[in-house]
Amino acid sequence: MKTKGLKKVLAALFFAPVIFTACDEYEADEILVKLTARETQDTTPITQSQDELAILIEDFTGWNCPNCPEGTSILNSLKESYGERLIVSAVHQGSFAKPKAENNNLDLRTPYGDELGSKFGLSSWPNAVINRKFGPLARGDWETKIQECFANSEHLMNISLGAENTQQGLLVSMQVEAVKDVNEALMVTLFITESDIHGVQNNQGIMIEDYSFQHVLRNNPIVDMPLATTGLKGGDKVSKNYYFTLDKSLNLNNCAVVAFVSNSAGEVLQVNEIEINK
Amino acid sequence: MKKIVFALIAIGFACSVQAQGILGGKVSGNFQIDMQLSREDSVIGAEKVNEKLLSNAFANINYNAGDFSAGFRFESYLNPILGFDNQYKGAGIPYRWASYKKDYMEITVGNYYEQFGNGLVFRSYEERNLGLDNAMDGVKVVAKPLSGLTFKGIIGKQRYYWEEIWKTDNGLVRGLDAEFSFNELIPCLGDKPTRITLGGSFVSVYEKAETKFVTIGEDYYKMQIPENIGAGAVRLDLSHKAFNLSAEYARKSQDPNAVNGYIYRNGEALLVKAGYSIKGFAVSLEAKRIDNMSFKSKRNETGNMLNVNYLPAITRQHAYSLMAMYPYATQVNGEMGLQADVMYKIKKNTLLGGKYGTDVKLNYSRVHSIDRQPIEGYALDKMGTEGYTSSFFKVGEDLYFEEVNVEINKKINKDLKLNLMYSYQSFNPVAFGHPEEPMVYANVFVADATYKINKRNSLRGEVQWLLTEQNYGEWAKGDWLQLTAEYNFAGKWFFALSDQWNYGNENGEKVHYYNVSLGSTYNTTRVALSYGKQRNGIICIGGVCREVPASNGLFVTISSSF
Repeated sequence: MKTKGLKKVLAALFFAPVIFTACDEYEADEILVKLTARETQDTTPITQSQDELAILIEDFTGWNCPNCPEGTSILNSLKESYGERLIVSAVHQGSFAKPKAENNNLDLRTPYGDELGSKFGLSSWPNAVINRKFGPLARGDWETKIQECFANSEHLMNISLGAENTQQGLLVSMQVEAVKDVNEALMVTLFITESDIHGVQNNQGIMIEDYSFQHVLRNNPIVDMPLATTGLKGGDKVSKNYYFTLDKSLNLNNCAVVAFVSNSAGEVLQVNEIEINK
Repeated sequence: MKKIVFALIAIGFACSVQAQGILGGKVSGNFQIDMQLSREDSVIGAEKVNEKLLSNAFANINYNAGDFSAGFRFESYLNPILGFDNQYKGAGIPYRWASYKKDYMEITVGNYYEQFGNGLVFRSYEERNLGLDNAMDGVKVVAKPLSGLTFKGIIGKQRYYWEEIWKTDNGLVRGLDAEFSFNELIPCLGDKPTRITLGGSFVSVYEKAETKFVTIGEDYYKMQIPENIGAGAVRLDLSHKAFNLSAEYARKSQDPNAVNGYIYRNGEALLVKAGYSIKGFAVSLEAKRIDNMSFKSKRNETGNMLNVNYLPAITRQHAYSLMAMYPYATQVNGEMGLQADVMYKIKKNTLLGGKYGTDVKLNYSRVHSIDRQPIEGYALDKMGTEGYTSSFFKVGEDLYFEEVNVEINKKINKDLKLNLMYSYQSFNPVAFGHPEEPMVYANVFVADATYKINKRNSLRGEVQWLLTEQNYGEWAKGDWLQLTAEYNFAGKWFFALSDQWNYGNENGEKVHYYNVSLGSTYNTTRVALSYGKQRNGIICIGGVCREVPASNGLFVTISSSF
């Protein structure tokens, strides 16, 4: 009888896992992360302006991913169609991106890329996330979703950019001009992509020894910097300037800076890109 | 989820057909519709109603067959009557559920209401008069594996007007409650006069973090937002003969949210009640301390929706309208207070008791702010910090509410009953977010007499008188007098006339808020119709409040049950 009662009690502890959901606690010195260290009053001339909606597509890929070159082909084709209205970032992330002797230990992964992969729950490659809102999407869905995105998204603002390599680092100036009212907190994220990085790529089981990787997400992004804490009114202009810390391995002639404005949910509202040495 | 619910309903019906036929179960329900026609009245501030007619309605339909039960509630707000949030506009079935009992478990899927202990960490409930409904949608399991041992587990999301909650990022609520009744668990304690029950609960809300910033000095900071907010409580209920004691202590993890101004201080709540009751005499004492205990399933939400917990008020809730003109609202960010009630029945056939005895009730309540000191180096309540420090037993400087009231209930003879009340109230508008307004001190008197003409007819008269030198907002200006006459006839009809007169309004018009009403009750069906003016005011139930705007027009209510 006692054993039966005990079994019932154990069986009744169905929701005990709730206890393990517990709570997230931060120590007093962990609550706030200082963001202003890389913001600066220095400026560089704006050379890349914008007057229409652009969309960001982030392709999660890896050198050992056999279907990824096909994904890249789709992206190249889409880029040809949309031009500057489609900004591409190739995020090397996940098991297929892990360096091995077979690819000469070329590691194109970044901590930020890993964070994005984890955030969006990547479990197969190539998959893409559009505007940090839709996805992960299989490559067959990219074109349709981009069309939908252009059809359904509002053109809320324009981002103008300037970039200059200085002794203190890469100086990027940006100006955001609101086209319409946006009544929510806005953030800015900037990162560097590099093209023409040569390495080994698995293509349907065949290793291509001198594959050229394009739009590769690189280290040291500037993430979620405050732009406007209560939003912007149509016609408002906000200027920001940032210094990037540059890795020595970067070939700046092949690099671009991608800058986007997001809302508090992290969804991209507008994006632009500037090539650094052009 | 819908599929699961309807599948269970189907299974239930199938079982019912096999076991006792489709009519073997029992269907029950109730229905109510409120309709309002209001016209513009600039004197009392009643705004134009474009729709002319507004209505709120609901119907509950429940089916019960043995251990299986299921049901749904239809609601319509076409459009919501004045004072109800416009987000309710529409019609549909926001509440549907199925439940069955098997062995020692009861399983509910779909929508449900539930409460752990006093509700300090979890209470899902509906309060129709406040337009509040935080029904859960998900799964609930209640298990009683042994006599005296009860476990409850819940998981789901809360209702938010008509929003499709499963398509939103609103928080997911998970909880577990355990209660041990020692007198039932331990056989030798079964017949002892001392009864002890211990309980504990834990609730966790998961909501995706979003980016938030704060400026301190000239620097920008990004706030680390916790995604899992936990709250736990322990409680004790103890009684010995005429004495009883109940206590619950709750604690909440860091929960920066819109209500507390995005501070990281842990929440805390303590509620203690003690009472002594014998025939003709009862006394009870309550004490409460709340510190940063707003707990919602969406961190940016303010107002009454999406409350995960409930913080009970410890002031008297009044039914007479002038007594309730300055109501008390629970201050979820911090308050401490106490309440004492004494009830004494003066015996029959004594000088004061008369032939039938006299009931005397005395009530006192006082609620203060809590002590709050700034964190060194930061302003008080600075966003992105712990906000403040507080000494647990130190009473804050602000008096939020104080009331002493006495009520005498006397049956004069077999046909005449009298109820007399007096209340002195101190009301701090800061508790309603108006720190610029002065404290209001009011004396309120009520005399209510019911005369039974015969078995089917009675007459009731009521006088309410409020005296104050202060004004509050647009609706509470100076002295008020209210007269009501009500005639109940033919056993099922009533007719009433009332006038609430703001004769003490020195700066504006001395408005008469007259009202005429007629209604009948026939078995379980009640129809009531009233015409008149309704002043702008605040209605509070259990410390949770909503504003009622002024109106001038017709109000019809029909309700029934089967």
